[in-house]
Amino acid sequence: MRRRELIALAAATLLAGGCSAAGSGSPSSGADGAVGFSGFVGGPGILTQTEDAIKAFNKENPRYEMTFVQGQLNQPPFQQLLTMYASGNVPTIFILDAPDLAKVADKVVDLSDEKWVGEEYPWARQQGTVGGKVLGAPQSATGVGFLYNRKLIEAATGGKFDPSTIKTRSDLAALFAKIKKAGTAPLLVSPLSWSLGSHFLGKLYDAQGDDTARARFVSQLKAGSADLADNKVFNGLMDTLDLMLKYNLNASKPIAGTIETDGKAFADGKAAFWFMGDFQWPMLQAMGVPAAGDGYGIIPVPISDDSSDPWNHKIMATSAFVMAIDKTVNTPAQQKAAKAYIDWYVQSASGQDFMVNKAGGVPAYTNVKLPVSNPLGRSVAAALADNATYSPYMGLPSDHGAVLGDVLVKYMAGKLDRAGVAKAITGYWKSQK
Amino acid sequence: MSRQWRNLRGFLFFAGPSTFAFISITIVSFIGGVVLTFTNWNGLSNTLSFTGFDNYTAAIADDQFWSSLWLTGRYVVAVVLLSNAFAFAIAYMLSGRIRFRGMLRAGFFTPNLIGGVVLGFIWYFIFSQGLVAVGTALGVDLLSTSWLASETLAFWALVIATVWQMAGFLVIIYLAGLTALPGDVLEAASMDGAGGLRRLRSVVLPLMRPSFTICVFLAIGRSFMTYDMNLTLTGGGPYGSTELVAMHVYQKAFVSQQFGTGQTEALLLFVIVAAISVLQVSVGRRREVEL
Repeated sequence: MRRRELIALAAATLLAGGCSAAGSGSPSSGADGAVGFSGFVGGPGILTQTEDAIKAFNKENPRYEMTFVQGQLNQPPFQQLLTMYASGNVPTIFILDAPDLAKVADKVVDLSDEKWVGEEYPWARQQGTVGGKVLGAPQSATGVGFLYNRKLIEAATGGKFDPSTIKTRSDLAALFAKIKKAGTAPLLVSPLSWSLGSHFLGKLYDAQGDDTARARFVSQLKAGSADLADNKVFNGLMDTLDLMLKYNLNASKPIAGTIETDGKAFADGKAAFWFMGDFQWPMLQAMGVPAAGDGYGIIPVPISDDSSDPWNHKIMATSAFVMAIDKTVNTPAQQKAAKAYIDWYVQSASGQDFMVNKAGGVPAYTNVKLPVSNPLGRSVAAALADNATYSPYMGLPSDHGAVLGDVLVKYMAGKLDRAGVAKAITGYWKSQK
Repeated sequence: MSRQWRNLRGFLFFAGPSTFAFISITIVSFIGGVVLTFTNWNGLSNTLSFTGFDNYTAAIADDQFWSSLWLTGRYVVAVVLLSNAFAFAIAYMLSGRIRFRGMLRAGFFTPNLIGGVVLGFIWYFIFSQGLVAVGTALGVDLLSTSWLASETLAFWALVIATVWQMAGFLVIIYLAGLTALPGDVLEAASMDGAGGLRRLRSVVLPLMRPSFTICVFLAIGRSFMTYDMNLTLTGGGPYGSTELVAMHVYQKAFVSQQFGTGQTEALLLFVIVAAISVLQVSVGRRREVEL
């Protein structure tokens, strides 16, 4: 009987121990007295490469032992962080989308005094700054616009393609018409809520002007005083969308495409342009585009017929993700170790090699001089260097892409007209508190 | 040591750990969830304030919640009817003397061993690429465009994939029920001249009512809570037209970050499912046949 009691006691102790362990972050000590801490990658990130980077970091920094926490690919990192914070099991360093940084502002370490601060592009620093404090370090930069296949365009038009000649929507329409006449599909528009809701519709807010003008426009939307029917940007954007849908490879079945089928179609040269971002390069390569990928690039999405309109000349560039360090359950020693990882990533040769060559990223830091390893990334990097990019509005609610992306997919399917889209957008904003 | 104390200790030894786990994981979480419905917590903040019945008002005013609940109702009816019909038919076939019976039993059960997320991905590729390739090659209009791009067909894609998974599980229960049928009753029916169909209708089906009660109960509960298959197969698309209520609740809480409203909608869903399940079981029990 006594033995049974001992077993019961042991079981209860183990259970209680298990429960109390849920309140910690990551193991604070590694092998040989090294500081143990953890790093998390979730969402459509670069999992394998990050794991390799952590191995390289551990090898070069024996004082630290970083462990890799792998998240889910198909779930935004912030949603996964919510459950991690709810369970009190938070990795020391994690990535998240830049607009989500403000939501964890009271839980992450102030990085304002770090050595790499000042090396980021000004827009990237702004995206990582909340309330005057630098809270996030950009992982890399990414750009969104029309990806193009130069060889296909030139074969269809019989002339040399100069991306800088596309200054207006009419220029784009003329090029699309020429390509179509030659029997090639001009464009692919993927019916993906996240792409249309965040990347395409995002320009509705971005192109209102500077941060003050954007905030004013959003305030008017919330108050119900913004009239989208007469809004120049909204109508310009919808006119461009109509043009895209007219020349879409999948015009006869506009919402049948998936990221896989459309990526394969673009990689196979079935369409000359694709509304997407440089982040799709790894997938295009996996689908058969040669590693060199000569002739691929990215151009802005024109939203007017005014050739002097700056929004026709700039691609949207943002931090692919920002890295932040938890201070709620991770010890000061672990926070210091996580800072060392960001230092290594931004400043060391091997960290930069991972950022640019292994992960194929576009540096968001001016001190990183390595040439970008893929043509789409090179196009984004060139735009960054030429100041031909704009930073998106950071105040969109977390469900904006999903909710209003669905509205644009419905428009693509012909189940909604322009007035219906406007009504859905104003209705969405009015419901925001 | 008193007998009462010995009994209590015995109970604690055997049932204590599971009772502790049940209370700490289910009951405490449930109570915590109910408390959340009266707050404005956003899922992350260190602070929250009580907002009375605001979340209940918001949940009742959420049109999307009610439309996803209505969609879920239609989905549940389709899944419960089809999965039970197929499962019973398969079980009845497997209970006879057919070749490769063991292999077939294992085969029908296998989909149930694969998680809903993986199954969702498998069916996603079947509907979005596999069937499209076949339909295009054979010139079949119905298959040449992805079912997932149509509101109606995406709904049926979801039903088909769920039935395919759930039927295998229900087959096991029906098989157990069929195996336990008293041989003498069946034999007596045959001797009285009942043919196969008559015996099925008048003897087997009435005697199988306990199995139907269990299977319908399980199918209702599982299909009301479908989330994983919904997430990976249709993602709620096209344009939110196949967003079942469990997915809507998740989106409300984690994507829109309205935890209080999401939790309230989850609670309303719990009450509705519990009421339907209790009603179904009580009606089913009343109709059972006792020998």
